[in-house]
Amino acid sequence: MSTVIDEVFEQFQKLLPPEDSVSTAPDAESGSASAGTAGDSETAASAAASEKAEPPPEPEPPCRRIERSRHGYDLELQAPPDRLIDAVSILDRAGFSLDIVSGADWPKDNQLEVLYDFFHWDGPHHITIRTRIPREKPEVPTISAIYPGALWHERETWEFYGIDFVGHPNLIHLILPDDQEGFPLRKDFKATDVDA
Amino acid sequence: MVAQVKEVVGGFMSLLTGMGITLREFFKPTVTIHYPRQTAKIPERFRGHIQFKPDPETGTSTCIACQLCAKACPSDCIELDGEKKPGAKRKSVTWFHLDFTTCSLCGACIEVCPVDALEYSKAYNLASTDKQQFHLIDLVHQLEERQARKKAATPVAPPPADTASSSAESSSTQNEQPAGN
Amino acid sequence: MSTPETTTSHSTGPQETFVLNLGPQHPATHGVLRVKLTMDGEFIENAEIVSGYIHREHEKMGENRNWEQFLPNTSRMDYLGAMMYTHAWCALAEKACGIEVPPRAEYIRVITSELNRISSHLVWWGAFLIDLGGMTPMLYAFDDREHILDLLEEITGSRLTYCYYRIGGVCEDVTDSFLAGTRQFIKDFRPRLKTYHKLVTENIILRKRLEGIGEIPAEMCRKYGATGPVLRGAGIAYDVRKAEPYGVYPDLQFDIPTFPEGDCMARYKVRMAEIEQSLRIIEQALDKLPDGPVMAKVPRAVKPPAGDYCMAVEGARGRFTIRAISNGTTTPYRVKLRTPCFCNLSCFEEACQGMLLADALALMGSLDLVIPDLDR
Ligand code: SF4
Ligand code: SF4
Repeated sequence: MSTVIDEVFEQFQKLLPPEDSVSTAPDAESGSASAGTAGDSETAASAAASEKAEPPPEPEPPCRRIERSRHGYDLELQAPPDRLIDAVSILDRAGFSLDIVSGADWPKDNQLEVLYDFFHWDGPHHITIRTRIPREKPEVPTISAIYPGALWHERETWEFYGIDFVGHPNLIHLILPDDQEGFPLRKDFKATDVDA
Repeated sequence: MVAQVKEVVGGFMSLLTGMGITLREFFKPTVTIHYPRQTAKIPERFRGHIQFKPDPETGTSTCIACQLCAKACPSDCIELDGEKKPGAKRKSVTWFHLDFTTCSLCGACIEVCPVDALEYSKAYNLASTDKQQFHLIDLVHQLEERQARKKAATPVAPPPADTASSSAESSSTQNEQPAGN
Repeated sequence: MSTPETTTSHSTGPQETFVLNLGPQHPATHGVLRVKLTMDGEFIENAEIVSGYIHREHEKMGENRNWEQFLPNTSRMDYLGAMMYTHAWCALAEKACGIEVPPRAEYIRVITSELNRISSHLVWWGAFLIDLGGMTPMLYAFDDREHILDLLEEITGSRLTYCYYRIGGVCEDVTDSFLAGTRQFIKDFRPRLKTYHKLVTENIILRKRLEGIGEIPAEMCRKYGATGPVLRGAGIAYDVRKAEPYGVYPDLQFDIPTFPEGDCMARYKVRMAEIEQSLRIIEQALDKLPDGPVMAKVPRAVKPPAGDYCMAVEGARGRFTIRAISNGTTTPYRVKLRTPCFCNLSCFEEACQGMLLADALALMGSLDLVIPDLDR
């Protein structure tokens, strides 16, 4: 119905073909691309899923449509960190505006997640890009070169989750004090009692 | 040149208009309420700290110490306990501590109560140099005090006339300190 | 950051700069916000916002209490526009659980939200003009705002941090005197608004002070995610109430005021025009207000199915988005609150470069900052 979403959907499909499903295993980006899949034109550096990482619950396609009336957004893309910049550039060209950069902690999978939300001036278009990274080495490239508004959001996500935004020019505390220890929004964070 | 003159004249006129408006307002009646000599009308639904509704017959609380309010409270500011008096069908409350320093006046406790034992008070003059006064308001104690005061007040004189609240019950609680020490 | 920090006691040469600290306690920052300004004489070379003085970690609180219990928190971020924020949280939970809100409640929400928007804009109007050196308008604005607060207090019991909406409706029905009072207010306020325009908007001093100052072009808004009057003051007709309609806003007629200049004056005019539009919305909602219940049947415990949920509303300052992740329990797994002040202020650092200090304060005032909204 909404053409902007369709356009972006198509481009996302090209960027990350559905059969090229993203592995959510922690060591996804260290693994080399396996031969035999359709994505052999891709460079080896791309985080194509290795076959053995196929999890028992069937893999979701990286790009899927979401029911807006229920969830409030239209499209979701599961992108590996090295495809992030490409995906965000697509949205930038399509005229999207930056809504949120946020994080989530999934200690059960030993992963952290970075969520990027974008909205459009022309109507109810809301797209989410999510990328999962291992907890030991939480690094994603910064998107602040494309959207300078992400500078603050990334600083905030860094201080609350300890996610390193590689290439960020000024990754310092924004909201928390400079001597803050630990990352408060991680699930294993224990607050020291201030009342004591 | 013409535009400049126009701007100067127009600008000057805009200043005069503004001054005219302030001058007109100057002679309008004041709208300020001179608290504490005057007090504003406290609306029926005003949310002060929570308090017990007195049972119309016994004058005590109807609370059955079910703990639902304590569980519903987002700020964890309610603590209470009750006991089953011999011969009674249900429990009754023995103490009920409200920590008003963290209460967010959300009304969750009032809405969740199965016997409708709680209500908002109309106390707005809450000021103290001692934080402890609001840390721990014992509602059971507070209700007893209120009832005692009411009993003492009703036969002698009507409640003060300047409190504009409608019911005698609420006006008697308006200017009191929350904790009964 | 690379400029050497010299103190003001040094005499500064032609190429030297000095660092000026604005805030954290400064009337122009409307709260505790600190700005580190690298100055070249009267001109700003670089600005760095230091925030977080009123941070309360609402997002973590959201992970520690259940869906209903988070409601009072939402009204404590943008304390001047509390209704809209509570609306966002309620609408999010309703959408996620598939709760149908009774139409009467939806109309009441619109009426109270728009009243709240007017009162918020009035505070901004008064405070902004104080920033610019005009004391009188604040007294006018607060007089009118007082009427709104009285109206809202009558039905909600509070004057600022309302906790009136519930997941599934509103907690109590409106009273007849509230409805009559609102109609009366609209009638009285329209001529007052005209007076405001005569008193302030047309004032030559104000115009000279704001026109052409502090331009934030539309493209910068897009890159920074600035919304609300800032974006509409850059000529873009974006309003969440129209772009992603929620509640009963699609049934109501209103325009999105835009001014293409992108300067402080444009943002000023947008807000003033928005007040008029809000009055229009309230009038229609009062006429259409249906009878019926104000609360839907809500399950005992709100438990949205596992998944991600987004809800955006148009706050008084712009787009407010809540992004919540549910894991199917009564407690949210993650709550992200995207507040308009955060994004609107983030372009300040870029927009104020090369400006005069006094103009930068006008720019800051025109962003309509509420610091708890920025810090959360
Ligand atoms: S009003 Fe809300 S915060 Fe206050 S005691 Fe009741 S439930 Fe707790
Ligand atoms: S919910 Fe009502 S009855 Fe139950 S403990 Fe609280 S006040 Fe008493």
